[in-house]
Amino acid sequence: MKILKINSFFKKIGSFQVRFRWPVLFFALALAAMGISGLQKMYTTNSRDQWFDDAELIEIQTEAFEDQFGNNDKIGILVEAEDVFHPEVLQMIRDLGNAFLDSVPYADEITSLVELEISVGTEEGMAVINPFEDGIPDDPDEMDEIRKLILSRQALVNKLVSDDCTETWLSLDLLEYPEKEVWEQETNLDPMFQVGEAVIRVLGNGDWESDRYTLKAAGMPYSETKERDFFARETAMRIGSGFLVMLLLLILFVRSFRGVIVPVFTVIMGVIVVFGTMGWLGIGVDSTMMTLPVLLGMALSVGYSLHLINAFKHSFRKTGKRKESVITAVEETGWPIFFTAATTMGSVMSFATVGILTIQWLGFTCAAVVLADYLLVMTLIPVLMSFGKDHEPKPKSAAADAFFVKRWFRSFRRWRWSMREHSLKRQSSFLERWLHGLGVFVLRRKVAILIVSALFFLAIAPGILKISTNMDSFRFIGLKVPYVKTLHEVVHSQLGSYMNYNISITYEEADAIKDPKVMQEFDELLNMVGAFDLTKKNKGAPRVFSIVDIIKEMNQTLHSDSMEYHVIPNNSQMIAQVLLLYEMSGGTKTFQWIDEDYSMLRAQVQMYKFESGEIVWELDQIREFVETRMPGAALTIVGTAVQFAELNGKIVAGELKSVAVALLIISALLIAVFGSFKTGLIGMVPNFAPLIVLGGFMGYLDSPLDMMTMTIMPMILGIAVDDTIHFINHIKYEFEKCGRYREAILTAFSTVGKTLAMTTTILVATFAMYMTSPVANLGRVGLLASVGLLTALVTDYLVTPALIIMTKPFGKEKKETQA
Amino acid sequence: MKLRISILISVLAIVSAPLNAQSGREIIQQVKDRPDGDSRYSEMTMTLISKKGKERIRKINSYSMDIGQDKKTLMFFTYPGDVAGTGFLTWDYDQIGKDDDKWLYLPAMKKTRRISGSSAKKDYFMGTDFTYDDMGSRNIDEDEHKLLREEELEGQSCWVIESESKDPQDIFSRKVRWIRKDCLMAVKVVFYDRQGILHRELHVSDVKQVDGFWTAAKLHMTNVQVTHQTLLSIDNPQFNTGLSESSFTVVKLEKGEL
Repeated sequence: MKILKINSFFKKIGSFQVRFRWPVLFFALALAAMGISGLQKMYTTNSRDQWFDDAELIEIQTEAFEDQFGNNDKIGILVEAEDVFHPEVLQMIRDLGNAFLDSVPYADEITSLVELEISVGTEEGMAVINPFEDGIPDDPDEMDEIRKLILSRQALVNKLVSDDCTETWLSLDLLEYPEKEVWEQETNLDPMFQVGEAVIRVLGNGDWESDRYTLKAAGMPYSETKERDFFARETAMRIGSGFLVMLLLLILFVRSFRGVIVPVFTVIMGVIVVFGTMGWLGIGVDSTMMTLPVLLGMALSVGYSLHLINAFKHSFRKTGKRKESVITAVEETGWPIFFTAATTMGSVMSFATVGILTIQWLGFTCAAVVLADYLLVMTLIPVLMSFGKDHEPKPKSAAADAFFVKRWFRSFRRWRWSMREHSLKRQSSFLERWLHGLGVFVLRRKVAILIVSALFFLAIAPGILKISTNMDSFRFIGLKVPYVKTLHEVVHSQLGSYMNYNISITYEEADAIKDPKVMQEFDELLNMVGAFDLTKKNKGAPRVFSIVDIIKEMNQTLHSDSMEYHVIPNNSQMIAQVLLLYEMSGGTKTFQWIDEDYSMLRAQVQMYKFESGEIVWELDQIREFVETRMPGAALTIVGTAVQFAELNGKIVAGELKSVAVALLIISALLIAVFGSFKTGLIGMVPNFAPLIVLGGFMGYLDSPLDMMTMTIMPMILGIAVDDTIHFINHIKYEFEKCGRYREAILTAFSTVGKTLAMTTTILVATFAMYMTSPVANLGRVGLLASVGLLTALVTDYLVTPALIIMTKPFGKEKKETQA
Repeated sequence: MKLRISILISVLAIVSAPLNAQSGREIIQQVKDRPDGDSRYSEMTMTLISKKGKERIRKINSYSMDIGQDKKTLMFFTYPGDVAGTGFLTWDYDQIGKDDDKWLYLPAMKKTRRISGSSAKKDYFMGTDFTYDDMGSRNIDEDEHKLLREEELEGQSCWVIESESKDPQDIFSRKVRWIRKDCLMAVKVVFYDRQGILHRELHVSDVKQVDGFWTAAKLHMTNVQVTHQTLLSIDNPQFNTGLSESSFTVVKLEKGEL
């Protein structure tokens, strides 16, 4: 494919844009208006609903589970005090519970120390006691009696209240949320956020401040709302700082009012158009991920703009004719910019293969941002640069060199020796001269460079095998974030737990679970689960909850509170009657643990930590037990722990798939763009470099794969290849003009090489803004992206020209110029 | 635990008041005072319907009688089979502050256990969508009553009374009742939760006179917040059955019938 031919096509496009600049401008403004109005419809999604597709087995099972057992969301308030039985603490618990019931949407029921009904076996029968029915006693003896009673119940001690009386839970059960179609009629706020906002409001109203206790909130609605609010601020901070850096670098590199304003305008437009369109299409935005497409869009948009503006300036300086220079800029840069955009879109679209909805959303959003930025840059910049007067042609003065650029590169002046060999014109900028010198160095030491590079990559590559995955939310976001720190404290308290999972056993026949054998096997299963490493235990008591607790407790109560009867009764009538008695006593929890047909049993297992290998083993043990010991039973296991185990697998497989797909797409595009298999493959070689360096870096420096870092490799690949395309494209273009590799490469170094340095600097500086974030994984993303981008640039400067000069992929040099 | 079973009948009998009643409270007082005989018998079927449409059925034979201002009730489960024979005996005292006496007979244990203490009124009755309060004789002064309007409901002239709970901790903040003027029976009740959001709806149907006493054969309560329903069907209601006080003893409870 002849570059000159393709460029002439883009020349026509440039001419069309200049000719119809007003309609083009009007169209862009209309697009912006559409975007701005769509932004008002933009909403934040609940990120955990965005992990799996509705058609996936795990999602189907989760939905079936929630359909049966209702809303699994709860609000938990961990109350810590020297003595939680102090009247002031108990009164606060009662008041806070009432405040929740009065003002939290979907509030159903409070469970707390002061809202208890305890069944106690007596000589002649049983008593159902609400210890605080007549109020909270001031008399210490009376309170001690209540304390003893509560601590004597196995179902309560170290579950609702710690045995040292320093911790207790106030738990708010929630009603099942209505379907989206229903709540959308009244509000655009997800019910989970309605609950979270109300809880935050109640906790923050100043009524619960005391030296006698501390309150720490947990529960999905609370933590998701906190996460949304935190990331709203964090996103603004990161995008704001990224924008500032971009602006400063633009000023530094372009040094013209229009050259700064026009790219900034396109950057803002790109974000508005994409997110506005998402608003119109009703696609929610994931607040934890949205900075990535915005920052990527900003950096790329500026990169595209720089290529165009530099080409324009170069031509305008020579000819002084504004419109002609615009057309020339489009002619020279249209094709490589188009292809760099295509490769970036192709690589981020590889996220679609990961099978995690959030990552798919990220991929499509990044691709949309790149597309919007490409279209906006390619339409608005030529149009906006075309307004204004022509100038007299003038050579660029050396005085125009940026002072900062000079200082930045002062340390590299040792390269200057190489420049003596070449007759650079005086008007070349310092950077151009330095890059030209670098080109000379690379061509001279090509073999050494390739050997050293290969050794370096061979040394770092084994690190890839050391890459671990991380599903620990605390490590993911980090403890510098206040709400995460509080959650971490709750999790590591005596009564706290981390994730949970639910085991449900279903038989086809109704009443099957009333069979004592079934119930006893289930009890055995839960004993096994209780002994698992990951199961949370408090003073030896595993946090495993099921109907078994209720049956055993009621059986004990009916038998004069004798511990001997804290067992499953051995006949089905007794089980049925115990359950009936529980219901008649006002027990409301039965159908949280079994279904109406008495054919399904459920247990909830709370964990104190997550380890991907261990959880997979533990879940397999459960499956094996049910298969061998409970014939005829269907088992499902759902819950956050299962989701995380599934995600863990998806992240590893997804990373491999998305990198492979990105490599395939980019290889295909490179082969197509250069019209040669050989050139395409040469183009791919420098792009493996950032992958190897990133992989080694992640492995050796223990920067694990997670939902965010897994996006880095394909994304960096998509961005890094841009430089390769620009570089090789320009070398080929120069080669087609002059017919000599050496001259083509050196010209490319001093022309497009400068732009590559600028675009990479902007990209690295923008991503580096992540490193100032308190969010741990954003910091990791910033560091990894910077390392990847710098590696790509260095490889493009050093390896690409060395490979080209050695393999001569564009054919033989022209004879007439060989002399 | 408060097994105010006897009051089931009184739910049916939310009746009776002079037609010229003016204030909400007066109408509610007359509803409460509606005659329902000295003793009663009925066969009750409770159908509990889950959100998914799954049904659980329980059948109970219920006997009750008034002894002065007190009330004694005996109740025997007849269905499902694994709880058949389970019986409850309650002596419900009118005296303020005096706890009810309750006994439970579980045939699987072949023992009667006395149950003391009380459950909160907000507790649901036997897993149904009715609370003990709905089934019982709630003191009319626990609520502020207001006659909202008079209107026709399903062809019957009704008073519409709003009763607002005086206790902010109550399960409902207010309820609105449609009380038929002819029989003084609430045929529709709408309950609102503590946040003023619609919580439950009761529809009463098959209202008729049996032995000169007004009664309803079907009570359909729906908890709209959790989409759970309970249908109570009252069959074979009998009034002034001639039962004696000696029928309401632990011996009879263990026998499984009167």
